[in-house]
Amino acid sequence: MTQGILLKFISLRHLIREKRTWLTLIGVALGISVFVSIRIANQSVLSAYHQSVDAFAGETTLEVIGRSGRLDETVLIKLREEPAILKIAPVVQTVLPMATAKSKTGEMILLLGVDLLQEADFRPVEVEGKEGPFNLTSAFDALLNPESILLTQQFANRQGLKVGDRFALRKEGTLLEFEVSGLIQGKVAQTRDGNIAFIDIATAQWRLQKLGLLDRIDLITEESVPVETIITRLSERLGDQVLVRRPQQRNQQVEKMLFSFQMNLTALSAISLFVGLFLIYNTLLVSVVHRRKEIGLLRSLGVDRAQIFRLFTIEGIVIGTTGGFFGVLMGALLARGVVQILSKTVTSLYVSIPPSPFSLPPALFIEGVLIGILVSTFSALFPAWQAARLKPREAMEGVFGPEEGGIDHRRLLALGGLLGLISYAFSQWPMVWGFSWNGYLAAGLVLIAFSLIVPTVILLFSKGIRVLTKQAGPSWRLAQGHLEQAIRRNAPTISAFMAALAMMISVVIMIESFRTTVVLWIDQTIQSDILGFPASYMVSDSDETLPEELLAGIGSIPEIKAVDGYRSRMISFRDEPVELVGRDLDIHAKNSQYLFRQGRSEAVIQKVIEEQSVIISEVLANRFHLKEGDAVILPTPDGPFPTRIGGVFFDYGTDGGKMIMNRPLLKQHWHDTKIDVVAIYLNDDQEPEAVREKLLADWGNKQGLIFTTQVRFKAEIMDIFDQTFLITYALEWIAMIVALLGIANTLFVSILERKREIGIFRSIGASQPQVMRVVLVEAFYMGVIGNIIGLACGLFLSLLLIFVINKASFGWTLQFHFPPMIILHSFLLAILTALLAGYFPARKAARTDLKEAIAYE
Amino acid sequence: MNKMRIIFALGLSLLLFQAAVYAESGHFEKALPGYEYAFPRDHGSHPDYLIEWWYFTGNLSAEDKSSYGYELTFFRRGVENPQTEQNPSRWTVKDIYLAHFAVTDIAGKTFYYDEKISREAIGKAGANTDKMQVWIDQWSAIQTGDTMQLSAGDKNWTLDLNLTPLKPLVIQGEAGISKKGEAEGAASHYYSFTRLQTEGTLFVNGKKTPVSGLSWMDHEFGSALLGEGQVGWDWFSIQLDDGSEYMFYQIREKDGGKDPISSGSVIFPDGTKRHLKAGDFTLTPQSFWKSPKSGANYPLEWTISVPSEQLILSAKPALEDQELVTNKSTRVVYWEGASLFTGEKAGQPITGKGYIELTGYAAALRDK
Repeated sequence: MTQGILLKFISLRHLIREKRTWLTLIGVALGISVFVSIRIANQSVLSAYHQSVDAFAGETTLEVIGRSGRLDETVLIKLREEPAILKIAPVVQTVLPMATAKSKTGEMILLLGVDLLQEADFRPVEVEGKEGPFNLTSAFDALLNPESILLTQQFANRQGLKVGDRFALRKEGTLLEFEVSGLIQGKVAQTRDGNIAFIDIATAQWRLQKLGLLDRIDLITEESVPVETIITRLSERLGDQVLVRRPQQRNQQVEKMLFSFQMNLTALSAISLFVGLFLIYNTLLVSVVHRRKEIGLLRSLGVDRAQIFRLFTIEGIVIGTTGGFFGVLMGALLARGVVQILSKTVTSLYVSIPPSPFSLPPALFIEGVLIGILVSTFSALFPAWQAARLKPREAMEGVFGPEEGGIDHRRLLALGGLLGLISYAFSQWPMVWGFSWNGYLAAGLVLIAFSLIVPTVILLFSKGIRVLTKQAGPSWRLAQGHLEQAIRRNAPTISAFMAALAMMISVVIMIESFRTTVVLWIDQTIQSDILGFPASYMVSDSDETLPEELLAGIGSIPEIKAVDGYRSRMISFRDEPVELVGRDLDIHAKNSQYLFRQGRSEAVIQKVIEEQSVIISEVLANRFHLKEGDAVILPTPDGPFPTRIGGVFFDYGTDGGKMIMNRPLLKQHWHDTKIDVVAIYLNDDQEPEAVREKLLADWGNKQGLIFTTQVRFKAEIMDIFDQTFLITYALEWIAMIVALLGIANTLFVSILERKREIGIFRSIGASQPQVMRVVLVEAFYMGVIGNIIGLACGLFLSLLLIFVINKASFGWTLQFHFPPMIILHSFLLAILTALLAGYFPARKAARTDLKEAIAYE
Repeated sequence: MNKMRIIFALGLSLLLFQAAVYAESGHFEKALPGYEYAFPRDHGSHPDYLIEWWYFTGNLSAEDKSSYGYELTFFRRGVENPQTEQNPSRWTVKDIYLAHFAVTDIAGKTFYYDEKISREAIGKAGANTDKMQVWIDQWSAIQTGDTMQLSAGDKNWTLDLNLTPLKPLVIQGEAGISKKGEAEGAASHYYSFTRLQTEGTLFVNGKKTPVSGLSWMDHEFGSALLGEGQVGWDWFSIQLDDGSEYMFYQIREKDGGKDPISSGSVIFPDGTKRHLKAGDFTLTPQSFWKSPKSGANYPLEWTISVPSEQLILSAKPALEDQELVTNKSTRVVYWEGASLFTGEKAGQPITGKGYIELTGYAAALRDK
């Protein structure tokens, strides 16, 4: 009962009346909104991905693929002998660009060749045929007419196509022409944004030159028999040429990478939350200081410690809950934009994601509010405890005991040191590929450790400034004195600011290191003067290839020194999908290089050619725990091909890593003569642009080929790189805004508290600008301290990010690169931020009404 | 906009029974008078003809006197398409195979049916051209020696039967053809095993039951579908206790009349056959049953009279709902059910069992 009255008349009134409550609220809401928006976006993207995968897998319980990437159709006969298999659906598939797409980037179509008669058992598909009376010719056509194709309604609408229209795909420079004989509706049609098409399997084998071959066989198996049992039985029956797996396994690799990516984003978004936590802590602490008298009064009226404690805790929770609520709403708004960016990034980095329908799942809503409550409760505990332990008399008199006023900075320093050591221990934990929990834990500890040394640094700084400002104006010294005096309030503010800055700095260092590494890598490894590839190559997961004859054709141009044909295909290596690349290693060795962990590029490559071994990227080496000299067995259509690892090279191009062999080897064992990219080396003294024009005229329009010069290609890679980190930067900026609110908040309180002091100050002749200066100088000091600690903390965090978290999440070794300009930049940013935050409180202070201020009390 | 929800498979709606006429290709043989049958060759498949089916029905009973009916039919339809003929893929459709399977649990008042459709697909489905061997997946009808083995079903219902002829086969119709219309070739080659001793097992809901009884087998092949103006047919196979069998079919016309081409036959206990012309028998509906699934109104009770044989029978279904809605394969809705016959022959009471097939009643469904 009492609690209720207290809450209603004391807490709520304070909360509503005071501006800083609102600032805190905004800060908390902002922090939570960032976190929530990332969570929503992550979930939307993931569920869009899952839905498309599920709609696609349909009823499939198992699938069969060829380990070498080649699957003979007669394997069906053996499959039918297995009694636990109820239904079998052979699939021939490829991804090809639409020949005459409306959009410039081209539309990539997943073309599925299926047994139309059996397909309905696997994927429920509804087709709309021509108008008019029930007419079966549409699907009958699709079954029998090799020109028939079924498109999705969504895609047809977008391209303005209808039943009966002509439609063409491009394949190796030729057109595959079709007639639209039906439009698919329903769930399957939603996958890949509708960019899928069905043709009959007979047509697919014929027109895609895959006679006798399948890409995959989907199975529906007996429910009562465990899938594992069937996998074992089938593996025995079918031999080691094929791999039997759950359809989910196909996506495991992608999901693993998506998980890392999304966890890292979530962790980054938690920064804002972390800063928000400081903000609440700060606000409440200030509130306790500010309301000492009131607390004393209440205590002497018989309100006990527990009630005071509850009162302040509840105040914190009210802020947290309200902030959480608005945060979720704001987060939902933000998420709309974030989802777009995120699905774009994920699509360009990992896997094609259909536009994710935005939704605010109730679970996320509740989660957001709960996080608000949790964060606020946690951050309210200490201030509430502080309030509760005030003695009534002390509080009434407004006397600070030395104990309460000061801060035991030595103990905090010691604790900070201890946490730093624990953090180091975590960072040395053995690496696990995937989510680096130890890395994040270590990073969290580093942040807390640096927060704990803030009071010590304030005192040191204050001492230093005192010496420096002996000759300076009074406002510098006044500000210094106040900084030290209000250390209990200033420390958390500076901590919050420091944390935001440190994280920002660390991420900048990480990205810079990453960027420098990538620039170094492409400079050293991409040395061909011109690159040629199908127009669809850069767009998506295209299967469009180039004919081998192109090599000879291009090679015959006199300006050209050498042409290296690059072919990439997927194989199942140790049951996981791995990119296998065949290229002319001799040409590459002579004209370009790989950055090997051990050995000189040309020597290693020549040896690899000689002994028919392979080289693998560092990521792949980490993924499979492989090293130089290890023996490996690769699956080919003709059986296993034993070879060894001739070298491990650094590569930042793919997430999953790749394996490279001399192309003749790929041709010999995989019977694959296709090419994805041609790397062209010019004779000295040739102008790349001129040759490019010539190539474009000869092959560009005719075969849908794109040629790009080295310079342009590198720029394009860097563009993709920068786009990828767009969200990261955005997250950092929001954390900074939250911190900025914190500084403004603290300074506001500081002004309120010093109302009388300022009044006296004014009455003894200080001008408005002078008053303003004092406040701004204090803000400046806070900014400088925050920045000094933030730089140090950021440095440690960046080391964790680069060498622990990133390495574990993506497998890349990055060269550490500290951009010296960041010191200057961060200082400018910190000071600017601090001054901006200080400006409004300073103005308020300057405008303090003299009479009122002195009449105070 | 008329939105049609077609499942892929429907594409085929082979219209086996429907009144729509598929443009007949000149490449298929016509069923013409004077066809010389040769067995076992003619038990096999006839890819030169457009359509063909192997049809088995029977009434079975278990030791506990519970009785069952079954139907298992395999269809083959030839596909001719100049474009697909150039396609060397093994998936090219040359014939499409379909199958219908139904079991009637008379005591349990349950009717179960399933269907399949497939191309040859490297052995998934097929039919031997030299002997009776037709299959889709695990469903099959295979003849070894005199015995025909049938198996069909899924994990809940399975039927495995051995059928042995008690009488030699009879060639239906006249001069080796069974006429379906007036035009030349509007006919089929049609023979039957009218009395097959049947032994086997029925597996229902986890219980294996030995069953025995009598079956009927039809094998028809030809290149003609129903002609214009014909809406469906009523077909009867009756095995009487005195050792004789009757087969009747009448083709119904749009105006409600009976196509004069309708006919039948009587097979005497000694195996001899007498052809019955349309005027030799009458089939009169007595009462109707409206299907809740399709809304079709089926005449399930009949009075049958063959004055020349002094035979009057009344037909009753063993179970009302024996309707097949074959959305996946033929997209035909029809009633095919075990039926019981009682009546008088030459003044003596007589009983029998058999099957009635009623097609073309659910036309309303197609217009939906």
